[in-house]
Amino acid sequence: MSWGKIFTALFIFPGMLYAVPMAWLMLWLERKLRARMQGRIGPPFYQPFFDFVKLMAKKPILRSRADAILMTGLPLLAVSAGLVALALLPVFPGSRGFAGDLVLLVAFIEVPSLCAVLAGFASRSIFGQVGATREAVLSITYNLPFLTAVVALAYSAHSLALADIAAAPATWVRAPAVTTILLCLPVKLRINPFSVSNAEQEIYSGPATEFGGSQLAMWELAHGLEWVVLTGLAVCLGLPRTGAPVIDIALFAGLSLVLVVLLSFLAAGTARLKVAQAARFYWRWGMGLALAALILAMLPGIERFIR
Amino acid sequence: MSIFPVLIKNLRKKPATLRLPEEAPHPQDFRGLVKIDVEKCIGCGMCAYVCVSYAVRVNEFEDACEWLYLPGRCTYCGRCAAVCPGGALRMENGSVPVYSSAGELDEAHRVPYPACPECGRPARPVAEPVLKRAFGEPTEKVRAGIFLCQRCRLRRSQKDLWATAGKSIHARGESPE
Repeated sequence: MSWGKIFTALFIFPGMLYAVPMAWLMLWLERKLRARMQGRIGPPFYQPFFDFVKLMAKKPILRSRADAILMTGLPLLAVSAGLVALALLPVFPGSRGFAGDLVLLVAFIEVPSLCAVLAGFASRSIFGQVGATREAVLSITYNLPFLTAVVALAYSAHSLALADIAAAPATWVRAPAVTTILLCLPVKLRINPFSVSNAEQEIYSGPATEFGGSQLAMWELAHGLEWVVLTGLAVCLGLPRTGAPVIDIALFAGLSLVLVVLLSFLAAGTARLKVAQAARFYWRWGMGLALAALILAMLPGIERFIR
Repeated sequence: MSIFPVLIKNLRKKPATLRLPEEAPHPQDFRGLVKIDVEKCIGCGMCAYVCVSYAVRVNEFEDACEWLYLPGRCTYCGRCAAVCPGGALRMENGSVPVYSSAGELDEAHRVPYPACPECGRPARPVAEPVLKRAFGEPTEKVRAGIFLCQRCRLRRSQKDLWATAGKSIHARGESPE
């Protein structure tokens, strides 16, 4: 990969220039649809942008030096991790990527969640700590099926490069694996019925409770980027590419938005589960599907072994 | 699962939210901004006297008084309108508008004192409701005296007093023991 390509991926597409407006658009779409489905009016489409600008102009509360460094650094880390994860997405087949970028992507996708856990504890608020604990528990819960599904995909494609996995022909492995990844989206995005770690009306905003001003703006942006990355990942892995860049970009963006619409339906139509219920769901159904994908991926090898 | 048809129905329908403030009717006695009718104001300052939040102020000058209203301080308690003897103050039946800079809704009104019919100096204004409250149905004599300035009124009442009291003294003086 040349520096020019890295720069393009990080800062233009699918990086900052595309991702930041898209993140705001997705945050808005989810809020607006949820509001309309509940019979409310909902915000105008520029609301997340205005929220960001307003929060950026506000002064964070003064804290001790160590706390301040953590509380400023963690959301920034979450935002940058989101951007790097986006840059790794194989939107165009075969044009970008390197061997092992799947591992890097999986790691970077998990960074915002880790940051949220640390931030919850760093904020020294009881709500932050409860939220952080829940986030940590859920992280273990959903990562098991998520990683299993990713491993199944990688195994069936015989590669750890995202571009290879995305370009691999559709097999029986892909359906359960991508379904598992889709199942993991609501909990990774912390929306209903899995909005356990940021349960509003219960523990305020969980890990983000004590954050304000530019720090909170960064959290919001990181959350928006998570939306772009995760829906983008599902679209990249679930859909075959056409090869024409313009159509690919349009498909990538459009299908990501379709996923947002579906997730909004889920969020509006369900109530919050308890941690144990969420965990049971992922370990039973998520893990079942992921294991099915893994077994399907391994079948040719087992067959060869038996012969 | 039966929630999803409901969600789709909601999506098709208009939002249930009423657009404020047009569609939500205000109750009849809703207390909004205080409005003054300068014609009815007698400059007594009772409104400023009862205002706990110092939102209504009355500054007196020689030939007029200035009525000030600062909605930013107002608690919309309605005491000023209730206590106003001339019925010059009332409260608007609508929400207070949103404003962006401090003091945007502040109001200042000048209540001029009319000239005394006798000497031409500024005299305290009198409103019809005040007259009714003080005198019931005011007689012509009351009406003639009430618009005078304080000095002329004093002089006239002294004259009247002398006229009646002098007569009775005279009458007493005439009667022998």
